[in-house]
Amino acid sequence: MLFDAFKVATIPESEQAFRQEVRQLATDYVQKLSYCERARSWMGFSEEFSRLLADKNWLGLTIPKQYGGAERGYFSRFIMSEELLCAGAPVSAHWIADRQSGPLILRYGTEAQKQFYLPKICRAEAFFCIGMSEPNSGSDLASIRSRAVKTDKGWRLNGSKIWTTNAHKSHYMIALVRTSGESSDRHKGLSQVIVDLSLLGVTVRPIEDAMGDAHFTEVFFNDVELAEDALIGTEGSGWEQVNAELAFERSGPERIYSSMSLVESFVKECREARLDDPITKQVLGGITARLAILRMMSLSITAKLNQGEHPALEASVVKDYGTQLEQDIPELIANHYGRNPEWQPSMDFINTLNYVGQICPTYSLRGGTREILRGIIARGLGLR
Amino acid sequence: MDDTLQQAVLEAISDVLNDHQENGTLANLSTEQLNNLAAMLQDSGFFNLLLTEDLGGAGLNLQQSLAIFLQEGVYALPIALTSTNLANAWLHAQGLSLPGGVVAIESVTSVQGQKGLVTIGLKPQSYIHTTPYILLAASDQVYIVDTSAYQTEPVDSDTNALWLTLNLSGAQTVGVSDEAVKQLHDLAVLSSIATSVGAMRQVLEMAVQYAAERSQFGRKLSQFQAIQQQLSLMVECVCSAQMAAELAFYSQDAVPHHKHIMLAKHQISLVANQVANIAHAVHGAIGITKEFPLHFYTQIIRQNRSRGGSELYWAEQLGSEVLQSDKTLLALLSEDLLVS
Repeated sequence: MLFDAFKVATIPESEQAFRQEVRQLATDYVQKLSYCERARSWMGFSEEFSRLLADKNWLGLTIPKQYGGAERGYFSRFIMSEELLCAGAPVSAHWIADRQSGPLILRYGTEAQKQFYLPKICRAEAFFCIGMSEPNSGSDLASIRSRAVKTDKGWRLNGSKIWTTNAHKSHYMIALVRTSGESSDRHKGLSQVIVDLSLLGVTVRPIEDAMGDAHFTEVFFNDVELAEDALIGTEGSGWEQVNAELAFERSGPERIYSSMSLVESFVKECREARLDDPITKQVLGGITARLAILRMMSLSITAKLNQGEHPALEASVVKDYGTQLEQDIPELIANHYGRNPEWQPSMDFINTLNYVGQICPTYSLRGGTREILRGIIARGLGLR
Repeated sequence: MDDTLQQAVLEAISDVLNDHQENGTLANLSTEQLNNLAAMLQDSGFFNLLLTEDLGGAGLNLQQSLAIFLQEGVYALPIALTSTNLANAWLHAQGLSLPGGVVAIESVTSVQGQKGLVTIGLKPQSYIHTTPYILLAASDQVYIVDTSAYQTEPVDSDTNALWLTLNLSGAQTVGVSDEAVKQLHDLAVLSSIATSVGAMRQVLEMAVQYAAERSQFGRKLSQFQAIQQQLSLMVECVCSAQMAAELAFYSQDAVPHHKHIMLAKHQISLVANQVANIAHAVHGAIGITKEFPLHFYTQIIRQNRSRGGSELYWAEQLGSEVLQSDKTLLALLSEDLLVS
């Protein structure tokens, strides 16, 4: 049964020095940022910070050395992710390339593609975005209409993508497109192509979110001529590849730490104001305990990844359960703030609470909505 | 870890428990049947799983024993299997022993009044009739209590339960270290963890099976998205409780880590009502009948939510630790609270 997958996994002692190094670098870098800026974290874009990590050879931690990676394994990756996210470091520039595109290219790419893209990813010279959703294809991904047609020289791409994170700041997009059949053919006839976003015919338009940030975009393809080797993996196997890619995305510790800058700010404010009433302790302790168990669940998945397994179902459980906590955190803290009229926390704390409270609905949208994930779990139970 | 031995013990005890079920449950067995079952469990060595082989035990550690102790909840076994094993290991470590039989562990923070009365609260009648000894951790004292100290009253809310008070006036206190007293408090919580999570696993199985069998509006319940989403949420809760139990039992000997117990019990209490409520919601009215066994399991889940500290109790304890520290929360989690 599914729940037997969740066993205690421990991080090898040899990784502890690495944790301290990452913590030092992240802590030093975020000193100049407010908590509200730190709360952006995996939407915070800084080429400078990504290069700092690349200089340490910390991008592509799981990628083999021959392609410029550190070949360190998933526990190193777990440590780096949690240290950067909890510090509120701006990771968005390299995040998708490091977490999804790199592993995808490593798994499905030709030798030439690996030689070309992976060293650039590891040097923070190639940032990636992922083209999945389209104007009429959100959760129903199999209905996409963007199409790449075979030509003498390669592929001609037409269509559009929407809600693509960071297309306006990235070098490449890995896009799921139709290469044969019609949208009514659903999963059949879909392929993944790597689109160089500097090509003629690509137009990128940022979309501003409710908080004034522009992290996601709309991307239009108008007769974009792609070379033959733009195809990644097997023609017609795009659906299977995308699901493998989403499993990479869903399995990391990042799905439990999106509200951590708010938590750390709250902890700091409570300590400074010397709040020690039972309700403050209950709120702080409750968040701590829930984070602890989710962290152990996330680590158990990391151990499975490290053993070469693909725990997609378990990852869906952790992601959905994790985003519930991420979304409960601003609610619990706002409730606590409002019951305590004498407490006057800093403006930065209030800004952070306001920002996280407003942006947290996205936590259960990105990478597969709550309802989609619960559908996946129901299928795993044999209910559908 | 010797998985072969663990697996062999698990299969053996499952066989015994399966053989004794009536109408799919052990919860309806008579006192005589239960005492026979308890004697069989003892004679087969299932009460000394944590003792070394040279002492007649199975030589399992806590981590290995979890899968076996979960069965107490999975079968709604009205015999304190987990606490008897934990108690026997604890007693042995203190150089003590009891004549044999079931030993429950109870933990209270104080003894009420001059008469030396301790309220244990609602207990199934079967618990009282099958438990000759209670190891009681009361604040900083440990008592060994036998049935002569049991005072019971019937209750209105549950015909299967009695209200249990212990009269300590003739009870024997045990001279042990402060550390051993703390351990016994933790073991009381640990036994409730195993029982509760076992029952959660069982009600999940029951709900999934019922949804796959029962039809309404011409379709199986499992084909309704509303039911699928509820069951998925229930799976998430049970997975989190299972992870918590694994953490609480993560020890290579018979002594758990207190901080792991705090974190685990918080999580298990937190999800208890949600798990029980979804199980009942999926089953509909049949689930609330006396004849259908679901209520035995959901009662175990709900009573253990409060027993050994509810989520608010443990959150407050943990909150104190967070406030007293000067570390970031991640540093606390990765260095102090959790196994690294």
